[in-house]
Amino acid sequence: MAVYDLSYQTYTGPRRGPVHRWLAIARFAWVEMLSRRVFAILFTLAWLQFIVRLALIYVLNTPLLKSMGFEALIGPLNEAISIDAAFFKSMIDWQLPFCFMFVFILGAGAISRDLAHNAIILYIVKPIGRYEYLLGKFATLFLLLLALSWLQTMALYFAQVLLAPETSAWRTEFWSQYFWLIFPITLYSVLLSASLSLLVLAFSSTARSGRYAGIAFLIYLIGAHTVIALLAELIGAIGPIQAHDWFGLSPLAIGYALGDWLFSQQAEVRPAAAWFGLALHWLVAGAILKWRLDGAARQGN
Amino acid sequence: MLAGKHKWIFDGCGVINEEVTRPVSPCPAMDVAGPMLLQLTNFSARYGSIQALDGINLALDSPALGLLGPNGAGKSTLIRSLLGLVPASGEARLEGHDIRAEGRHIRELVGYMPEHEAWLGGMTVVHFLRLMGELCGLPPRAAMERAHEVLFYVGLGEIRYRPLNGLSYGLHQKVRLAQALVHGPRVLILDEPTSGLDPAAREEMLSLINDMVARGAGKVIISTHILRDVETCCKDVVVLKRGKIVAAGNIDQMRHTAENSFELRIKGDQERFVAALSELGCECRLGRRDVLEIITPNGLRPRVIHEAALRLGVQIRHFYARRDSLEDIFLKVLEDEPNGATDQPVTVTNAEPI
Repeated sequence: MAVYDLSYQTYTGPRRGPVHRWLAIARFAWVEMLSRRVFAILFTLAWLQFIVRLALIYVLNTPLLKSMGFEALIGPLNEAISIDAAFFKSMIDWQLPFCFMFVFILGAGAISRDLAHNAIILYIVKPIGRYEYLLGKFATLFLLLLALSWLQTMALYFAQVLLAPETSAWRTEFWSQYFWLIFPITLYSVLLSASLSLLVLAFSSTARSGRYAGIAFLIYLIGAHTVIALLAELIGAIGPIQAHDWFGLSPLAIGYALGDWLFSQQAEVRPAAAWFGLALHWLVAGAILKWRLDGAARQGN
Repeated sequence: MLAGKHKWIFDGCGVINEEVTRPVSPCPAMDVAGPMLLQLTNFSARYGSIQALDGINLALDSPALGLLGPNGAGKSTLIRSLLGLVPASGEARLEGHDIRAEGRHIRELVGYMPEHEAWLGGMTVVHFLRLMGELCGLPPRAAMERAHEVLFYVGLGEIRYRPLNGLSYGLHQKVRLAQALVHGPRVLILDEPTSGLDPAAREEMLSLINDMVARGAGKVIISTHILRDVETCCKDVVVLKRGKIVAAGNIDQMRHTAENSFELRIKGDQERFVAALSELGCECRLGRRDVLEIITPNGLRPRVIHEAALRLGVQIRHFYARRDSLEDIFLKVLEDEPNGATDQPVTVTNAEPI
């Protein structure tokens, strides 16, 4: 029979670099998320739109319908669905409800749960520091949201590039007409994912209950938009500020305005106002997170 | 007993103290002068308008150091400042590393057990420890192995797959100790490690700490207001009050300061006996249970007490040289320094403990 030495042994093995350390926070959060059935179902559902759109791209670019005897459908389908900038923007836009769900369920409790269990101190006394702790929490949401928005949309984009017939505009005019789409798809997804992650983390850090933090975030998103709509109605234009520019303070309007601008579509809110609003939100969220984490470190919980 | 020099022996696997009677390694020993545990120069920290640490000067090395002080003395602030959690001014080195320039390295060397309950929701004990290990840079497989090892060491082997949110306070306390140990720290900092524990759990916790010290697995700093914990586990002590150091040194040597103090029980005329001793310059005080507490002036040998008793026909039933307990020392230094300590630097080194 083996006899095990249960006395204390020091660790003398190798250690990994800083990136692996804070990424462990994200990895553990994802493993925990996927171990819950509700998350697993939600995550699976979040890929449905991608599958449907991928099927559409396949059908529109290949002679599948023709070979199956549904030639009559080809014309109406081509008229109804055009694979262009709006197609990819709407893909990201339609993924937003899923992004919001993950933000509420996973993000709202990200820091508040640690606050409730006095766990922040456990992270920041390890050799990662408080900003890497935040980075780990941020990465948990940001990478997940990117997977739901950017990864899926880019996969559709490349599917279209690969499947487009030789004679189609996607092949003949690719560099002048469609190549640029990579940038708005990437920027729009990154901006939305980063902003949502940062904002929900800021809300999460203000409460010890994830539920309250989630509700507060929801109220903020809807409430801010409603209040600003009233404000725009009441105040209107002042000097160089147009009435619609007030919507630069609403997180919902900022997202859509920047999306429209990036995809070269007509936006009601001017891009400058939207960028200003975005920067303001990031600054305030960053300041809240710093204040809360410094406080937690000082109090030792 | 640790009196005089503390000498370190490096056994090739870890540092162990020479006075440890159970060497744990067969490696050939060799002398090495290790870095000092703590070096503080004019070290201060504030919370808003409250001066939590007030210009502390200290140079100290010890295998097991107790930080003592009443509530609000600055013990926890000192620890948090050393870990870089609370902004502080002045200079501080932990194990020779500057806390500002090498904060990350210090946190790699240190295992910290926080005072309050702290855990992560939705995790089992072993996965929690694995995450803590990975945060310290351990590769996933090694972190899992260490988690299992440490959990068995602290006596939680049987419950390692239980969720953290179902554990009792005592078990949580052990989990907190385990997470501090999982990356194999060289310095273990324990903030109130036994507060809130029942006597059995307390003994268990103290024996774990003692085992760590005895094996020389690392140095230990214990912050507590429970004096017996420090007496049980520590060789040296720093007493803080209102953010200043009021005493620091080797516990055994501090006790020696009471070598001219005696306790007696007598049968006979107590008044005449006390009067006779007072004439000799002794301070006499009647303590509890008719114990006569006598402090002889310097240079007066205890024999004069026996001579006085013989002369007066008083029978001495009980006589012993009184050794201050840590509680006596603690109370004495707090009484002596009602408004905090002097600003004199305190140096406690291996070679010359005060």
